[in-house]
Order: sequence, then C-alpha cells, then structure tokens
Amino acid sequence: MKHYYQISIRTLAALCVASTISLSFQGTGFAEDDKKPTANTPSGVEPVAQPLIPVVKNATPVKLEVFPSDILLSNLRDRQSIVAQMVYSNGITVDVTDLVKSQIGSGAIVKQEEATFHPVADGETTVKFSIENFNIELPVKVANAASNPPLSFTNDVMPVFSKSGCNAGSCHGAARGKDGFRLSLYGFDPKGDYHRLTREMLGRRVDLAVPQDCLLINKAVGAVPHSGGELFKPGTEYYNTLLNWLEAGASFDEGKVQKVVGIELYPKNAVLNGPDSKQRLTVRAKYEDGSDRDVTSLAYFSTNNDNSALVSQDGWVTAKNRGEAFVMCRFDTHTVGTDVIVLPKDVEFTWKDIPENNYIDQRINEKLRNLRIQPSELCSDVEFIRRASLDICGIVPTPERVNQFVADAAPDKRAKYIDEMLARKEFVEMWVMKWSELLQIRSTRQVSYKATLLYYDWLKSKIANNVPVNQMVRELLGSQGGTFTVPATNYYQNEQDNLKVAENVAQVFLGMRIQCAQCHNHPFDRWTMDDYYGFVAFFSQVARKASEDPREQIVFNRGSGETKHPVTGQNMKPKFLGGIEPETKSKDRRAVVADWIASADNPYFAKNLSNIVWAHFLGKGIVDEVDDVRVSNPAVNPQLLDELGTKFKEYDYDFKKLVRDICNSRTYQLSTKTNVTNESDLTNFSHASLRRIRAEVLLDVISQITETKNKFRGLPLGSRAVQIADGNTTDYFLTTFGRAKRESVCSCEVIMDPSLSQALHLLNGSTVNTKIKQGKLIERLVAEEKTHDQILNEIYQRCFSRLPTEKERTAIQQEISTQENKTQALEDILWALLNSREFVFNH
Amino acid sequence: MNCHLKRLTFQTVKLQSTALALVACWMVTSVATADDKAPEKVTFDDHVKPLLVQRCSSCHNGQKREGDLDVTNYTNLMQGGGSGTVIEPQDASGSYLYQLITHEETPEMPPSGTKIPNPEIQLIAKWIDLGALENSGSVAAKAKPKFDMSMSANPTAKPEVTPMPLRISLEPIIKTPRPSVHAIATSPWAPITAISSPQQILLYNTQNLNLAGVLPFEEGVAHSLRFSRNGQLLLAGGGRDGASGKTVLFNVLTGERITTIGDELESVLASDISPDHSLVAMGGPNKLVKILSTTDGSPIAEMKKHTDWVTALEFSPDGKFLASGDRNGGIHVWEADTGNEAFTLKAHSKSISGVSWRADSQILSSASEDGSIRLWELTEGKQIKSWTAHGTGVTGVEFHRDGIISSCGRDKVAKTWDQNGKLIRQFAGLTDVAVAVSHCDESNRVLASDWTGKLTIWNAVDGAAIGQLASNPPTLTERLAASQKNLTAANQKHAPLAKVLAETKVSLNGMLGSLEQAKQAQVQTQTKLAKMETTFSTAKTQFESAAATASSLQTELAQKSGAKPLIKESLDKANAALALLPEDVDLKTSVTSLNAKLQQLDARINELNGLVAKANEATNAMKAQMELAANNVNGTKTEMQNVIAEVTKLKVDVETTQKKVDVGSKITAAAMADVQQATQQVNYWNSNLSFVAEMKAIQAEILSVDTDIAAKKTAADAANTKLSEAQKTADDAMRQKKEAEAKAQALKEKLSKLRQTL
Repeated sequence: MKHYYQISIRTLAALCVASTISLSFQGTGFAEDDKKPTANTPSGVEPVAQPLIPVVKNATPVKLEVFPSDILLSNLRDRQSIVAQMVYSNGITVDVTDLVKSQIGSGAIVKQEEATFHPVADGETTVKFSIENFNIELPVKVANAASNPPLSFTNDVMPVFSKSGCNAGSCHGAARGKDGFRLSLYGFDPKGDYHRLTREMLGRRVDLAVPQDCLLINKAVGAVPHSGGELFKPGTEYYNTLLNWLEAGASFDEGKVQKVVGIELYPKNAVLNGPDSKQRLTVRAKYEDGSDRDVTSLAYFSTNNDNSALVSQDGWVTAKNRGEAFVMCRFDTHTVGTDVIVLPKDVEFTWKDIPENNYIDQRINEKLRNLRIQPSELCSDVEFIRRASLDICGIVPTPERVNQFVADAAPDKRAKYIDEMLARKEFVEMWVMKWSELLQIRSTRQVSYKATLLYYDWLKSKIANNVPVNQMVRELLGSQGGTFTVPATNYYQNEQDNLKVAENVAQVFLGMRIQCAQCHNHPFDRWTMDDYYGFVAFFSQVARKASEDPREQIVFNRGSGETKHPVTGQNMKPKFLGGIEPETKSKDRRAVVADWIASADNPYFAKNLSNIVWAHFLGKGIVDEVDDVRVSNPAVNPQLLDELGTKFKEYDYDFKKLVRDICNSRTYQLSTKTNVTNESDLTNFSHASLRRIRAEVLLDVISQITETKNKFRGLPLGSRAVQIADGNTTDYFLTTFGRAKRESVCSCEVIMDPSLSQALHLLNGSTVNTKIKQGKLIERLVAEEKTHDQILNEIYQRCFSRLPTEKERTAIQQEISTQENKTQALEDILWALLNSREFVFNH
Repeated sequence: MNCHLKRLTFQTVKLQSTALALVACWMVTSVATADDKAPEKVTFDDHVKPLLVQRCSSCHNGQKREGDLDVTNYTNLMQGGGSGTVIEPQDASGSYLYQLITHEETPEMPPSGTKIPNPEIQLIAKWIDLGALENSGSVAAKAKPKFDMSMSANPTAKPEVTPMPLRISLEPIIKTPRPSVHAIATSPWAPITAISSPQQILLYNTQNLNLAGVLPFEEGVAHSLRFSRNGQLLLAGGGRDGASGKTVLFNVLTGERITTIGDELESVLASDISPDHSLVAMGGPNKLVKILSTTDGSPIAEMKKHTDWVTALEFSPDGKFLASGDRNGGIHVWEADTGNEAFTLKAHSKSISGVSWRADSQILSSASEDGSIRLWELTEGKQIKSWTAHGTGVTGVEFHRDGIISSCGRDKVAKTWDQNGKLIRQFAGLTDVAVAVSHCDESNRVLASDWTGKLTIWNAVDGAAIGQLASNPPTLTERLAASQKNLTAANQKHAPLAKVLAETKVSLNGMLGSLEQAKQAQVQTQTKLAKMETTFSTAKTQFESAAATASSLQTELAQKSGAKPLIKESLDKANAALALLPEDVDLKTSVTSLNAKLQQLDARINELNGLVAKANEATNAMKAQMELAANNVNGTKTEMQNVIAEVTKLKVDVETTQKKVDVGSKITAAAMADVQQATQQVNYWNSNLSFVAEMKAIQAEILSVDTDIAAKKTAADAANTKLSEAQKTADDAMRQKKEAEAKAQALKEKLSKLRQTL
C-alpha cells in the first residue's frame, strides 16, 4: 500500500498543475474495485490481475486521459471508439487503450467490443475506465437504440468515397474526372455526385437489380479492372455501406441533411517515446442538430511530416524519427490536427537555463523544452552586426563600424545598433520593396509606368511616415478615383478580375490561399465554395472607367453587381472569411471588408503581418509559407504567433517596433552553430539559419563593397536595387538571383534558393569581375600604400565583417607571394571572397 | 429474275432452320479441320466435271450458257450464273446448284423433272462440302464459321411469315429483387418487344403482354438491343461493364444463339446489325466504332474519330450508312461497308443518347442530353430540323415505320412527334428519369422504361396506359406455385358455392313438391266446396220450396179461415131464411149446399191446419239442413283460403329459391370458370416447365450426339486413313506382285528364247 501512496502523492502533485479531467482515487468513487489488492502487492494473491501501467524510464505516470469526454449514441448503427492515454511526469504519453479496464455502470445500455461502445437500449449510464489506481468516468447517453435510420448519401455514402480517395484530385475528383467518371473534388457537390453516380450514364454505374454486381461495387472491390485498384474488400464497412444503400434503392437524402459543424480529433496531442511507439486516434464529427458520430473509419488521415510520424488510414500513429508532426484528419469539409512529438526512446535531457531577452525567447524556449532541444549559443558580435545590417537595411557594415562595435563594451550595444539601423532610410526602402511585392507594383498594360511610379511613391510615403499598416490597408482597399490622383486605386488596376482581387486580398492580408475554393471546397482547409464566393462578393461592385488621360483609369464603387455561386447559381451575400455576413446595403463593400481586415478583432491580419516580418528576419515563417495559413499547415509555435500579433496591435501596427522586438530577441541572435540536440531542428528556431541574401540586397552589397554604382530605369546613377519602383525593371543579375517579378502576390515569387546559374553567374558572369575592375578598390588601397595584410583585413571585413583567420591569412599570403602582379592577386582574392558561400549567405 | 426472287424468299423463310443447323455445323467443321489430315479428295476435274458434262452441259456449256451458267469449266462454274454464285464451298445445302438438283428449289434441274441419280447428287454434295476443289493439287480454303446471313431482298419489306417467336423457354435466368431495364427494342414486323435486364433478355408480346421468351445473356448486361430489319434476328450488345464486351446474335424464332461477335475490354454500349445481316457495328467506352463481319467476326473497319464514349449507333435501313454518336455530342455518319466517313454532324452540345433512321434512309434523327432532337438529311449532311424535346435531356429516340418519332427524357415522360417537331402525344406515368423508349409498329404501342426499372406500355393512339412489363418476372416454379395457389383458391371459392347451390336446388325441389301437393289440395277443396255449395243450394231450394208450400198453405188456411165466418154467416142467413121460407127449395138447396160447403171448409181447414203444421215442420227441417250446408260451405271456404295461402306462400318460396339457384348457378359457373382458368394456368406453367426440361434434355442430347458424331467421324477418318494405307500396301503388294510376275514372265521368255537358240 505504501507504494500506491507514494504514487498518489506524486500524481496529486502533478495534477495540481496539469489535470483538467477529474480523477477518482483510491477510496473514492468505485471503492470496491480499487481496494482489491493488485498483482504486485506484497500479498500477491490476486486472481484477476489489474492491468499494469507501462513503465517509462525516468518518469512516473501522472494522469490518465480518456477521449472523447462523453459517449453519445443516437441510433442502432451508432458507436463510439475511445482512446486512453497515460501522461507521464516528463510529458511522454502512452496509448493505454488496450490496457484500461472498463466497467459499464448499467450493462443494459451499451456494450463494448474492444475499444468501441455500441448501443443496447435507451438510457444514461457511465463507463468507468481504470488502470491501477487511475480512474476516469465518462457519461454515456443512448437514445433511439432501436432505430436504424436509412443510410444518407451525403453523410454515409459520400464519406466512403472521400475515405477511399475516389473523389481525390488525382482520381475521379479531377476536373474532368477519370476514365469517364467524375466526382466533385472531396465531395463539395453531393447532389451532382448523386446524379453522376446514379443517372448520368443511365444503366451503367449502378444497377439496383443486381447491386452487388454493378459497376460501382465491381470497380471499388477491383472485381473489374480499375485504374484506382482495389479500394476495399467485400464485407468491409465501406462495402456494406455502399451495398446497403444500393439495396435500399440508392435514393438521395430526403429533407434536410444534417451538416457537419465540426470534427474532434483525439488525443489532442501525443509525445511518443521512441521509434515504433504507437498511438491510436479517434475522430468524432458533430452535426448541426447536436448529434455526433464516430467517424474514425471515415476520416482521411495524413501527416505533415512522415519522417517523424506515420499515420495509417485506420487511425494509428506510428512514431519514426525524432521530430514533430502535425497529424491531420479530414472529414466532410473539416480538417483538424493533433500535435505529435517523437522523442528518441528514453532520451535523457536536461534543460540548461539561458537568458531570455523578451517574450519571443520565452515562447520559443517553452517549445524547445518540450522538444528536448537546447538552443544554440549567442552569435558573435561580428556575426550579429553583419546579420542585423543585412536584414534591417540591406547593407553590410563598414570595417570601421565593425571595429567600433566590437570594441564597444556596453551591454546594450546590440540594441543600440538595432535602433541605429532602424533609423536609417535603407530600412524604409527595404520595406517599401517588400510591400511593393505584396501590392504587385509593376507597370502592365493596365497600369502605365507613370501610374506605377505614383503608386510606388504613395506606398513609400506611407512607410516612410510610419503610417500604421491597418490604416494603409483601409486606404488601399477602399480607394476610389483616378489612378494618377489617387495612386492607391492602382491596386484595382493591377488585377481586374474580382476573383483574383479577392484571392490576393486573402493571401496578402490574411495569409490564406483560398484559390482552391473557387472550384471546389478547399481540400486541406476549412474554406468552402460558399466562403470563397461570399468573400468575392465584397469586390463585385468595383468598376473602372476611362479618364481624360488615356494612361489613367478611374476606379469607383458602382454600388451594384453580385457574385453568383457557380454550383447553385445563387447570388452570394458578402461574408467575411470565417466570419459573419455584414450589412453592406448602401455601403462600399470594399470599405466594409477593409474595416474588417484592419480591425483589431480580425483574427488573421495582425498575426499574418507579424509572420511576414518574422519570416524576413528568421528566414522562415512561424507559419511557413507565410501566405499559406491553413489548418493543415499549422503554426510551428502558435503561442508566439499569437503574441506577436497581439504586440503588433498594441504597437498600433507599427512594424518598426515589431522589428525591434524580433531583432532584440536572443532567438534572432543565436549562432548558426548547432549542438547535439538541435542539429536536426529546422523549424523551431533553435539556431540561426543560413539564408541566401536576396537578389537586390546582394547586388547592392556587392556594389557597396566594390564601390561601384548601378543605373536602373527611372533612378539616378548610384541608386540601390532595393529602390527600384517598377517590378518590370530588372537586370540579368537580379533575375538570376530571383528578384520578384511581382506578377503574383505569392511569397514564392522571391526566389531565395541558391542555384547553379547563380553560382556560375558570380564566377563567370560580368557583374562581379566588372565591378571589381570598375571600382578600383584594390588599386586605391594599394595606392594608399596599405600593406597586403591591411588590404586583406579590409576586404575580409567588407565582405564578411570579420578578419581572416590565421589559416586563411597564411594561405593567402603564400598565394600572393607567388604572384607577380600583387594588385591582380588581391583583386583575385576579393573576387574569391565575393564568390564564397560565406558572402552570399546571411548567417 | 423470277427464279432469283423466289430463291431469296426461300432463304428468308429457311433462315430459322439454317440457324438451327449452325451450331452443329460449326462443331463438325471445326473437328474436321483438326483431324482431316488426309481427306479423300473429290475434285472437279476428276469426279464432278464428267458428271456435270453428262447431265447439264447440253444447256450450260461454254457456248450456250443457259442462265449465263457454264458448268463445264471450273472457273465459270464458280463464278456462277445470272442469279449469282451457285457453289458455296463447304456448304452444299447452301449452294444453289445443289438446291436445284435436289429440287429443293425451282427451277428444278434438270428441267425434265427427273432428278439425276442419287449417288451423283451425293458426290456433288461431297465435292462441295469438302471445299469444291478444282483438281488434286487444290487445297480447301480454311474452314470458317459459316452463317450465311446474306439477304439481298428488300430487307425493310414485310416478311411473308410474321417473325413471332416459337416456343422459347420462359424460365428467367435470374430473378432480381428490383427490376431494371437497360434497353428496349421492338420487332419491326411482329408484336414483340425485347427488353434487357441483367443477364437476360426478355421477349414480351406487346398485344397480350405475355412473356414470350427468355434469352440468356450471361455476358452481363445488354446495353443495346436491335431487331434485324426483317425481325428474325435480335442483336444484343453489352457485357460486363468495365471488363468485357460482346454482341450476341439471337434467332428470334427459336431463341437460340446464332453467334457471338466482338471481344472488347469494355461493355458494348451501342450496336446494330446491317439490314443484309452481313455486318455488325459496335461502340463503347473505347471511343471506337467497329464494323465486323457476321460470318466470322473478322474486322471490316475501325473508326477512331469519336472523342468520347460511343453511345449510339444505327445502320441506315438501306444498309448504306452507319450513324454513330458519342458522349461528347459528336455524330459521324460512315459508309457502312468501308467505314469511310461520309458526314460529321455537329450541333449537339451534350452526350448523344440515340440515333434513329427514318425507314426510307433519307433522314436521321438524333437525340441528346442537351434536350434536343435534331433531324438531318444525308445528301449533304445538313441539319433540317431541331427542337427541344425534353428540356432536361433526351434519353432515347426512335423513328416509327410511318415517320412519327417517339422519344423519352429526363423529364420522366415519353412523347411522340411528327417530323416538324410538333408534339403529338405525351405518355406520362413514369416515376423517374426515362431510360429507353421504343414503338411497336405492329401493335402501335409505345414502350418506355424508367430508372427504377418500371416499363410502361401505352396505346400510341390515345395515350392510354395499357400495362407494365416486368424485367424481373417470376421463375416458372414460382409461376406454377402461384397458379396452383390460384387454383386452390378458386377451388376453395367454388366448392362451397357449389355445395350451397346443390342444397338450394334440393330445397327448391322440395318446395316444388309441396307446391304441387298444395295445388292438388286446392283443386280438391275447390271440388269439395262446389259440392258443398251445391248441397247448400239444394237445401236452400228445398227449404225455400218448403217454406213456400207452408206459406201457401198458411195463406190458404188464412183464406179458408177467413171465408168460414162468411159462409157461416151466409148459412146462418140461409137458415134464417129457410126458417122463414122453410120450403123454399132453393133456399133449402142453398142451405144444404152451404152446409156442405161449410163442412167442406171445415174439413179443409182442419186438413190445412195439419198440412201447415207439417209444412212448418218440414220447413224447419229444411232450414236446419240448409244451415248445416251453409256451415259446411263456409268451413270449406276457409279451408280453401288456407290452401290458397299455402300455395301462394309456396310459390313465393319457390320463386325466391329459384332466384337463389339462378344467382348461385351464375356465381358457381364464374367460380368454375376461374377454376378452369387457374387449371389452364397450372397446366400452362407445368407444360412450360416440362418444355424447358425437355428442351434442355434434347439440347443435351444433341450435344452428346454431336460429340458422338464427331467421335465417329474421327474414328471413320482414322479408319479411312488406315484403309488408304492398307490400300496403298495392297497396291504396293499388287505392284510388286505384278513386277515379280513380269520378271517371272521375262525370265520365262528369256528361258524360252534360250531354249530356241539351241
């Protein structure tokens, strides 16, 4: 008994922190059961052995959880599977579903088969699950236990197609179907699917006379050749659903079809101890009438990281390599996920406390602790100064400034340097460029060069004057007038297709790609066609007319015009994404949606913009890609993203302050060097990542180092590439290094990946070599009678901010000594430095 | 010309037997090709030519060529004469020459009227059957499955014999819980419709709606059904969806399978047989239209122009064209015998659900899911008419023989149209999307089925629904059981009725007896009454006469009694007078006379008093008698009334019972009729069951006999081979013997010569 006492104390202690579900302990609740001595008690005379809690090294069990929290059965076919999970003191979770003992309060209400409960008779009772001295009691409610309602096409049959992949994009869900038969993608059009299945090809796909031998069944079980192969076998649940539906007359749902309002995936998270650990899942759908249903067998499971966690279609997660995965299930139009962390088996890890500069570090470190990852050390001063200069202003620090910074002993010198950078005009130019990409500032057939410049100037003035972003967005989306007089109207000139405008707004300001939902419900997100066209409706009344100047167009609100749903043909009411249908009568709908987007209540806007800023400095978004927010692409650290969003709002949408927070965080200032625990981490910001310097900045920096000037269209000689207003103005270098053409709003337009052509261009292309020659930097330094060593220091610091290492120095000295033309040799060294990976990357 | 036409008629009528012979024929020929390693050769040069020269060359020689036929030359003979080829290698019975010399056909040959000797006919038959070889060096063409479907007479003309099915098994292949109809076709020349449901094709009589036959289609489902233009063949195209496709040709008269054509990897969705029966066209999900020969299934043409599934096709009635439509709305018209494209008909925007030619082949109708029916002329391939027939999609179309068009659609209605697109009539009553439509030209009825498998048949004239045809009819056993149940029920209904009727009849007879008795009683009572009345009347007369007598006596008595005082007074007066005049003689006389008179009067009065008393007595007696008689009369009258009442009552009873008997007889007769009908049904289904059993037994027997024949033939061939080997051995031996003899002779001669030299 002493043994149990100890556990109870520990358990209690842990529960004080963690438990949300009431547990019954020894002596309370189901006393008779609990008082029975167990097999490992000293007495050792226990005929019925209590199941034992699995042992986890260096940890004690602290909490038993059983999901879902209640069992509601509402017809003869209804059932509910449960998942029991044991949580240990070190956060590890173990699936104990097969080990828990269940005791049904009243056996006449439900019966249990393995981990699934089936109805027996109407009534209410409880089921108590127990393992050793952990107990949980779930309420059970059974209604209409005798009723066997007819199978619903929408709610029973279509899920079989979704589960079996029939309506996937690669199969019959393709736009033109497959092998002559089409289903709506992921079943967005039940009525259409019903028609196509039963009556489109009369007498072919289903035959009620011989349902077990009709094409639908024969294809599904592979009885006849099927490109999709055998999807399931006769006698399975899926087969029986189809067959029973056919045998009952293959009718469409009569009356109202209960819509799925949401799905629940359990357990909510799992921390698996080592490869091959398993965790089963259970999925429950909630319908609008309040009923629920176990849809584990009908939900489609997927994982975003099958290197760490595999998930089978029957809902079992299997751990693989260390890492985290978001395991998702899709049912109906809903997708939900659960976080799965996989740790090496019985990993030993002790968190070493490190300073936390601000809330960012707190959130990041919380997550890293869970993952048993120790972040890297702080980066050196020279690394910091180069990194911050490049990120904030797109420049490299001068050797003098580096030296000064390194020599500075002030503890807040990094913060000061950040403020110094933020005060520079290059900071503004950097963000004007970034916004120009988002707003697609470029001359096109619709937007004249003059309008482009005006548009760019408008944006520049907003950013330079620190106009809060929300205000800027309101101004932009609600803009009316001539494209010359009110340059913001160019937003509606760049893109004149209402559908695209809506998509762009969602993608840029909310970070969502809703394009999929134009033709079908979004397969990996919550957006349906209703949502899509409801959102498009905000832009259905934008109109354009010619101005006196043929280059100018006038954008205005026509006040009429509706968006039709292509499937139902109905006019769509304007509806916020995931929000309400606002009153838009006699209002400019754009202004209504702009207000919504820019309001503090908007759940996406601030977070999205913070994420864009974050991604700029950390190389990767908290949601990555930054404009691909969706259920199936979860934030790697949602708490941090929430807090950044909140702060951004607190700062009145002044992103300069946000930049300051980010750059001052220890997380931003971490070294790129990894340790044993974080070497495989690529997502949790446990170390700095190497980032190729983006095209414009790279060209500017090369020019800065070689002291040469560039000439771009519309800009004076010596302007920086970052300042280019028109997306169409480029040169070979910029194009090669992936400058955004601004043809779309996609964040993917800026190519940050290194490529062979980039390397070759640096090596053999005209830019670097020509600039070295043109700039005559080495000539000048030689003329100033600097020693080779000094020159070496100078160019090293210019390029890398650091001095050469002794090894480098010796090697280079040796090389120079063999060369006759010392200037040439030094130029070659500068050329080599500019070609080095250390230069091309920010680190 | 005359003989040419006759021959064709003959062929048409004979088709059935040809078809019957086919299966056996195939078997034999295939066995023969496998095993005939060294068949005995019968050749033209060696055997047939001498015969023909002797028997026929007087008319059919190289110079004379009667009927443009020359039998003396192999090439000319094979080319045939004015009525076409006369020799069909490997098919003696199908060869015109053979038919003429056997007098199966006219003009009989030789024209003298006497057949050539039988062995010669057999030789010719053998020669033809073995391939009609020219000489010993010729090789018989590879034996091929033979079904001569050539029909060069006007195939759209009404056949002389209505192509009604003979007796065909009515046993369904499967019985499904729900009906489903995939295709409907109607015979052009008989009130017969064919409908397809999984694994079977059902023939129904469109007049009495009776099942006329079940044709097995174990290949799967027939998506397309077509009667040949003469109504004698039925082509079913279909298969197992997603897996295999075929067309099967049935003999409508016997229900037997003639041949199977095509071997696709997907179900055939559309198919048709050419009017001359020589070609079958088919199409399906492979987007190809294929034309195959019915003779051996060999491909004639394959067309790859359709961009989507081929969903409809039909040969023009004149056999020149083949029209085909696809799921993309495309229609192509091809030359039927080459597959060369004639026209592309572009207008429909959605899947083609049917193409149908007008009987004169001048106009093609097409129906599409786009809701329209379009008419096309085929000299330039132009659309000449288009109308919206079923807004939500047309699912079937058919040209009637008389140029009316019937259609059905997703609006759950079938319609008939004139060629201007004017609606003639709507046929409502379908409960779901219509699947197929057809019009029976013979019964003038429209048939259409819907997605639920309901098939309704309407009168085309007034649109009245006539009935429904089940695609899942009960099995014969079920039918028998049902009819037996009906019979039992009818019997059960009839028996008590008959019993009650008999009982009623018995009671009626009883009543009639009683009535007769009552009637007799009435007569007797009547007689009695009459008698009584007579008695009464006699008594009454007597009483009256007695009363009258008494009354007259009393009157006399009263007169006499009244006269007495007068006489006495007169006497007294006379006495007084006498007294006065005693001597007056007169007076005296008077007194004396008066005294006499008075005495006389007294005497009379006395007498009368007695008489009166007597008469009164008599009267009283008579009166009593009369009263008795009157009583008797009254009594009898009452009796009479009772009797009459009895009779009346009995009459009513009889009448009622008679009515009962009449009604009962009618009902019982009706019940009896039911019983008889039910019995007939029972007998019908019993006979069908035994027919099926018998048919199967015979078919099995045929099969075994055929196998036996094949085995015997193999044995015979083997024996023949051995025989010819033995013959050869014998010949060799004989030759060697002859050689030896010759040698012996030579040696003898040599010896003899040698002897002479001495």
